[in-house]
Amino acid sequence: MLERDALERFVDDFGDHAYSFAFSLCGNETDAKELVQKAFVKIFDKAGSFDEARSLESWYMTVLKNLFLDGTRSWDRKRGVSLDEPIGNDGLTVADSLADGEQSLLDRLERSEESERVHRALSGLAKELRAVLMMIDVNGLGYEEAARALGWPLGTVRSRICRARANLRTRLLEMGVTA
Amino acid sequence: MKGDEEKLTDYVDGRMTPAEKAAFESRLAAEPALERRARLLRAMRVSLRAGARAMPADLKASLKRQARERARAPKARVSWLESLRASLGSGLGCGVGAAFVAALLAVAVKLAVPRHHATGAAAAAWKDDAASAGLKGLWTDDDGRDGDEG
Repeated sequence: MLERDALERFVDDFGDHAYSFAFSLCGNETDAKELVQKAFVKIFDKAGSFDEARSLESWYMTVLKNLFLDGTRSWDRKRGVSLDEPIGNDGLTVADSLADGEQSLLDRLERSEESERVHRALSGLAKELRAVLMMIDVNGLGYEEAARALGWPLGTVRSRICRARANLRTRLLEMGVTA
Repeated sequence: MKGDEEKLTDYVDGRMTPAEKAAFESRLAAEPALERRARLLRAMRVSLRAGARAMPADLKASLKRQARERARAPKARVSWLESLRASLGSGLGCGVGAAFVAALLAVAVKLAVPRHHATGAAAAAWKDDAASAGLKGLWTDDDGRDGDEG
């Protein structure tokens, strides 16, 4: 059972993370707002049966993820982000530019100039990779919590976070080539 | 390189043992490309966090209002067991509780009466009812012996 003001405090403390996660899944503000709202209302309704041995964040993320998957077909249709963007027509391959590209990407990231581009690259990843990356790298969940929230085995979380980061890096390098 | 990707992930997520971490850091010191990858992973994480979107103020205000309303008027969802326990705890509840237990006992006694005590007329009436209700096909004169089967 949650304390009386726990829900309001939770909205205050966790609202930004929740919204950011929802936005990364939906790719637009309208759907992200709807998704976050539905997930909060669901946990408000079930707050009486909340097991305090569990983390509220992880419970909320599970609810949000399930709602997203329930509506995923319509959200994916509206997102309109292609997973097969071309990387340019100058004959330069990604492999050619990897070494230089990585250094220059690193320089730009470390100068904090790439946040927007990183989020654009993120929106092109498969939804399960977006989800695990947001949970672990943005929301700061541990592997165990992410595994519970996503309903995956621990080994799957590890292999997918690894793949998500590698894909994100590759996408950023591709975007660097075409920029 | 695939093995290195996993090691990099374990390294930046702090999932290595002290011995593994020391060995990996020796490699990072000796391999600039690997060290650059590790910095890249950290920098991507920082960028992701920096670019995370804040919840729109109107949505946050609306959700906080809903949370306050729920806290003020929590939904009364009491299980039947809790209701019974509560009513048994009160003075009035003792009488209601006793009546409830008596009713349970009466039902138990009724159920304990064996069916063969029913009169022959009542049994015949039940058989007729079943037949008239369209159960003729299920009602047989099988006496349970094996000799009349197949």
